[in-house]
Amino acid sequence: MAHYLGIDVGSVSTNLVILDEYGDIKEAIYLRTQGQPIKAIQEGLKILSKNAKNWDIRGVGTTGSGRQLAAVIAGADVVKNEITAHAVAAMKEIPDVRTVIEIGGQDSKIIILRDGVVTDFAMNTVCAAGTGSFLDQQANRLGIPIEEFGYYALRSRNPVRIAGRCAVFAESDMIHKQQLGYKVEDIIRGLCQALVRNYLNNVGKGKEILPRVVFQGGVAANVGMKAAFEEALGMEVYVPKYHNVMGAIGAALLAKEANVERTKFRGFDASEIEFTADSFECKGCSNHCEVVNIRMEGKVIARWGDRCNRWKVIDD
Amino acid sequence: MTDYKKLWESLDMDLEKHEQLCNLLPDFFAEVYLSQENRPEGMNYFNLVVSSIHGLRPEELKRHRDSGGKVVGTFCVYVPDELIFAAGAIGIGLCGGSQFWVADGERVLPKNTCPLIKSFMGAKITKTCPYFQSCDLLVGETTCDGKKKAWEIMKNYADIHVMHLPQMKRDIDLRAWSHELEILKERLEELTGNEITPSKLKDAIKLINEKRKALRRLYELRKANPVPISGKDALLVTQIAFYDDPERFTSKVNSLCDELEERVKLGKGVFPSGTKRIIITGTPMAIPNWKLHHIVETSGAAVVCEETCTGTRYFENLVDEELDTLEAQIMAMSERYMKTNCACFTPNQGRIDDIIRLVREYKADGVIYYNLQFCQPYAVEYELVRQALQREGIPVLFIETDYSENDSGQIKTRVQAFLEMLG
Repeated sequence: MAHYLGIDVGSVSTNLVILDEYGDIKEAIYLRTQGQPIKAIQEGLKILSKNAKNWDIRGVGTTGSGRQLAAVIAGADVVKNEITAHAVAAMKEIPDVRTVIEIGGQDSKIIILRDGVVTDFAMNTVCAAGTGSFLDQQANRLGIPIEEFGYYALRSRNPVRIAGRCAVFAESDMIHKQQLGYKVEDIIRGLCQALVRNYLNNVGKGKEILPRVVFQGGVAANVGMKAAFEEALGMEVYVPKYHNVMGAIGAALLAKEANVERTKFRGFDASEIEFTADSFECKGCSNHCEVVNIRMEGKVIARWGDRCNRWKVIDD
Repeated sequence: MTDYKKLWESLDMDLEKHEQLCNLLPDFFAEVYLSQENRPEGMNYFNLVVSSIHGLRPEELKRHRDSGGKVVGTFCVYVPDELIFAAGAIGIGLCGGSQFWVADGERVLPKNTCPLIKSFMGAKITKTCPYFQSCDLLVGETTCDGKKKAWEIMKNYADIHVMHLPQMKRDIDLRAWSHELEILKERLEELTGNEITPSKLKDAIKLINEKRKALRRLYELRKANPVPISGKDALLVTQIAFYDDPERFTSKVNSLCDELEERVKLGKGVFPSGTKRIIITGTPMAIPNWKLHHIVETSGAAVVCEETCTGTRYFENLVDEELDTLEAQIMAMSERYMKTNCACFTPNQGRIDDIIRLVREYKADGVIYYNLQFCQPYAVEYELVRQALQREGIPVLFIETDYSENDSGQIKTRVQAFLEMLG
């Protein structure tokens, strides 16, 4: 049977999924990128290679901020932005979805769909308040495992109001509330409410949020955030089973849709190939671009970072 | 560029710092412009003007000043070039489109000021722009709070005359603006020692109208599908309009248009057929700010029109050429300028109507609302524009950014997703 590989390389996590030709998920892997995207992609391929004989990969799609890198390493047929990938995956899960809330490691987005078509969207800008990294950090600071963070919120009866406009202010406000003696679950629930408020006022500003609402991305695992969204919106919020790898699912679906004759996939052995990245400062002009070389066994196969394309490598 | 060293010295410029700036432009221009395919031959003139941006034209300004002429620098499309040229002076639209000057601007301005203001302030205080250095007088105006207050600081570095632009469009405002034009006229007469007579003003009105007509012709050709010229090239032409010699500029734009007319006849486009057509609306893009156009046109779409000050607002509407008294001419100018729809006016329904009309005329698939960071009037006005476009079923994407390249990746993701959304 034909299979399709989707890879989503984000700032915090790198996710890989394999779909069969019916679009059913056969494998889903969630790894921390930890600042080493090449290693994370190869690690993912290696895990998948254990059952390599089961997979007949006919197409590969990549997405996320590291989509170009993933495309070079794995050999991709489709390279798509994360809005499209997330929308496609949400529609596969809930065909009549009209709103997608996606909160990942460092970005958050809203996608508005009507009759199966994306009609509007927005992403957070430079500010990462309310995204996964911030919640991670706060859980860490409070000494609570991130997996349990949301359940604390559910136990709260009297949430504390936290300033959610900015992660820095939210943090100092939380510290202040702790020092005043508020219960940690009330602070956590207050934080979830603040982040939801912040999301709806910024990313969701001016958007008509209609059911059904799908909440995905790593932060969707947080039951406290789900509850806070449901409370604020007054409607049910659906969290898909594979909520944390939806980008990769979308990329795989897009690869399936592309229906290429011959995939560019390098094979799972790509996990054994030596890929390295190094950079140099171009002295060609006063821009002094930091040019990145991606090498396969020492040979440069891709380059980016140069503004003028002077260093562009034409790969076959 | 070193040939102009003497010229720059004579303008009291900071040569060392200026050298850094000059080194930036050629590669940047090559990357954004010369890499384009199917460019019209007629763009060669504009390439030349940019490649010698701090030499050719400043040298002409110096010759003009050496023979006793004056140069007047302006910052806004409400300031009438007609009066400046009628006084025998040369009007130069000063830019402030480079990130290079932003940090220097921040030395005297709050960081949360729009990059355009920070950039032109930096250009002046570092003495690295030959246009600024060539000006005998600057003319500012009270469009937004940022600019209004910046002039007070600018006064430490240059002579500046500030025009009080009304912010409503009632009869009383029209009369107030004509009064401001009269005050400017007196100031220019005093500066140049030349009297502005009805016949001189008539000639100047014709001169500037011809420039507007040439740009109108260029934009008219951009309505063709496939579009015969890239948005980046058209933007460059409009940007150069602000400081080039009007007569020469007009003739070069018209020859470019002759070539484009041929292309349209042959159905020849600059992009593949089916390329999505985008209108950009919002804040000005002063040279060398090509950031958004470059992102859009390297993401598979074409910019077909700009509803901005470096677009339609600059050349739509003409001044009546048939009047013979100063009073009537100045009133006609006031009427023409007050038709321009800037977000500093309240209410500003005219701009919303313009955008919707332009979307139809240019058969655009979508609108990108471009907001320079911290430009409050345009940022606030977005909500009403968004509502109106939504009612009309016109997709719109809001992009707020500055001159830095830091967010180019994020903007590209957004633009790509927007284009995919257009189908």
